[in-house]
Amino acid sequence: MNRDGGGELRWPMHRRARSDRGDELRWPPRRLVHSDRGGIAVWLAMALCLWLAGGVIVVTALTDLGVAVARARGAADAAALAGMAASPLAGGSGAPRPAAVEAAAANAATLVATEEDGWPLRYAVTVSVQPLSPLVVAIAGPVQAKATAAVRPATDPEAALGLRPR
Amino acid sequence: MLLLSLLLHGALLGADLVAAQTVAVQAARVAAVDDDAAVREAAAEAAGGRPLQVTLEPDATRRAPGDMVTATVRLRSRAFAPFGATVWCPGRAAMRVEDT
Repeated sequence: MNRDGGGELRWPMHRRARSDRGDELRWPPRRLVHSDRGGIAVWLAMALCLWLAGGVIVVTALTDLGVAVARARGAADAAALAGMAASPLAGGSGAPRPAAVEAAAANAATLVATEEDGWPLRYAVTVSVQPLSPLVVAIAGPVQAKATAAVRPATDPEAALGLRPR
Repeated sequence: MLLLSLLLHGALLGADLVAAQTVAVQAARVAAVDDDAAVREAAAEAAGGRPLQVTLEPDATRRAPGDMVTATVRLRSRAFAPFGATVWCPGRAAMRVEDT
């Protein structure tokens, strides 16, 4: 007998008991218990998905930026050499800019600036390449690269050109 | 773990894309001053022995000083190879043919 004087229920109350009909009784009832089991797994899965999505975005952006930098360097190199080839000292026409523009365009780049301070011995260009990803464009903008080309005059130009024996 | 591995292979693919562009620049640079055989040799060296396809336009027989020569390369990436996928990374560069 319990302290209330009736029934077979024993302390503690949450222990399992049987009703008169033999059904299992629980206190508190199972349906009223709020269980947090499994919740952490859901949060972990969501965090993992977010982390991976961020990783994919970062990797894609870095790849795009790296390819754009490599393209810009190659384009600047080609444009500077093409411009330098127009030097009269190299037998060119004397107008470097058209050749530099053509070389930059062939590399999907845009010629944005030239330096002709040392012309016709030296020619420098700056080109711009647009990354493919709008995210990279928004963060870093177009990628620019600068290259310089120069000719070194021969110590004996006439001999170098074959005008007289060395 | 599988997703993490995929992400790492994506990063490897990105590095190979940059490498392919670098190889293309090197190929165009050599094509501006030398013949196709020298270009393939230089490109293979720049690719570090990885499988590579190089296309030059125009080829050595039709190149003249002042023309633009375009080198298009396809570099086989090591990325995603464990998953059974073969990925080729493209690269393209152009250079003015020098008067040698």
